[in-house]
Amino acid sequence: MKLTTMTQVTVDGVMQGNGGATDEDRRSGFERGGWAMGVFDNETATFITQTYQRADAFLFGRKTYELFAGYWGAIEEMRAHPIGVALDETPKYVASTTLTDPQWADTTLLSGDLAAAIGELKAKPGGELQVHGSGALIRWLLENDLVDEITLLIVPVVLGQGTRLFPDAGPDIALDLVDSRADSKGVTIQVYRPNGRPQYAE
Amino acid sequence: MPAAGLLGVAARPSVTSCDNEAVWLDADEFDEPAGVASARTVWVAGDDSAERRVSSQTLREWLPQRALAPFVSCVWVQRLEAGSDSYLQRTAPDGSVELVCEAGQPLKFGRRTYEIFAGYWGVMPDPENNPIAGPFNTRPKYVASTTLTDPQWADRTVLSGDVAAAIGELKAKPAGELQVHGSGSLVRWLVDNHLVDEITLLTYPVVIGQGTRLIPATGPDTALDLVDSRATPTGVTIQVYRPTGRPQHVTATPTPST
Repeated sequence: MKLTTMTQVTVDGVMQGNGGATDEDRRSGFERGGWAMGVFDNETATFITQTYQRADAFLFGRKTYELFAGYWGAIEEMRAHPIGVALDETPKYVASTTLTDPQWADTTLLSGDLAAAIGELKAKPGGELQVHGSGALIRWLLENDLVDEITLLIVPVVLGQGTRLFPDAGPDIALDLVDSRADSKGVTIQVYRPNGRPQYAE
Repeated sequence: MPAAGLLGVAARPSVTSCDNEAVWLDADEFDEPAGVASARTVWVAGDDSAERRVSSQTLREWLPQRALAPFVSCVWVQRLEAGSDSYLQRTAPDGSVELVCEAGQPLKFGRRTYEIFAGYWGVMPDPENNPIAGPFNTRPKYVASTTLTDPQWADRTVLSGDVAAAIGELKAKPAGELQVHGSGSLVRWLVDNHLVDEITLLTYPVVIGQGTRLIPATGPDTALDLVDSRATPTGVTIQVYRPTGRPQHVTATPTPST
């Protein structure tokens, strides 16, 4: 399976709080949540739904897993939404050293050698292992060269606070742009594939 | 008058590649490029040292000489400091050279960028025939600085007192475009003070993992309208945004993902 990520980010690269600030967010001083609410046009919303529907497996970090489980996995109308259905019916893997008893059906806890476990999943022929949300996990995956494709949904706002997808100090990665478009409400969708380390001019 | 920033947000990977659609010409290969004759698009990339060879004169003489002018879309990405400043120009099908965001109006710089530009665009040979140096040298230049006392570049004014008032006066003029290039500190100050009318971002397909960001980690929040978006064949995306005031933040239940 190829490992793909889909991340909603602001123009300043923030990924925290796209759907709203959680209590945990607020305790850490983040108060500008909800910046991705209602910003997508119908075509983009359909693209997001279809992305979830084509997944062969999902991989989550602990925070996003718990958020999704309490939302897509728990609220009846969300469970009935096509994204809720896709999440429910598809194998889910959660990378966590603290979670012990994941409640959502068809969840496998990856708590040991994460790189080896993900390597095994990626070695399976065909298919797509998708990561949504899960910022800390994505940063770890990028550091370990495990990401095959990055989809960014760039929301036209500068947030001025919050955790960014790409850390201030981290690996450098050359990218191939494989798709780029803008929706009717100003969201741009960029699809990149990591392509080794960049070269620099002297 | 709108103040537009033409801002490179990351560095260009220095690559040379060739396919049937496009040819990347690295600086070292510019004089002896391969595969150009069959290419529909020629991309010329130069870094600081290469720029002298990839001059507008070269573009005018070299490209038509190979009967490529009708097919040439030439992007010249020039980097003065790693990751800090990039400029883009293209050769139109009729052979004329145009600058993205060129508006033929006053240019504005922060002190650091001004000093770099003045020592570079200001002293190059045959500047009037260079599509970037020409405008830079002949149009009024304003430098925001409290330390620069004796700018050497022609037709320049140092704004060192009430910069907001001085820029307000410039913006109050009835038309035209006051451009900011590079000048990260200045751009952040202008954004903080709601003085920017349009932002052009050239986003390069690379994650750098270090360096100063255009937009600080902590700062004002701003809603934007996307007014233009396109991608070049080499994977640079160009987005033009206009600030439209503060965004509305939802305080209701978190609704992840959609």
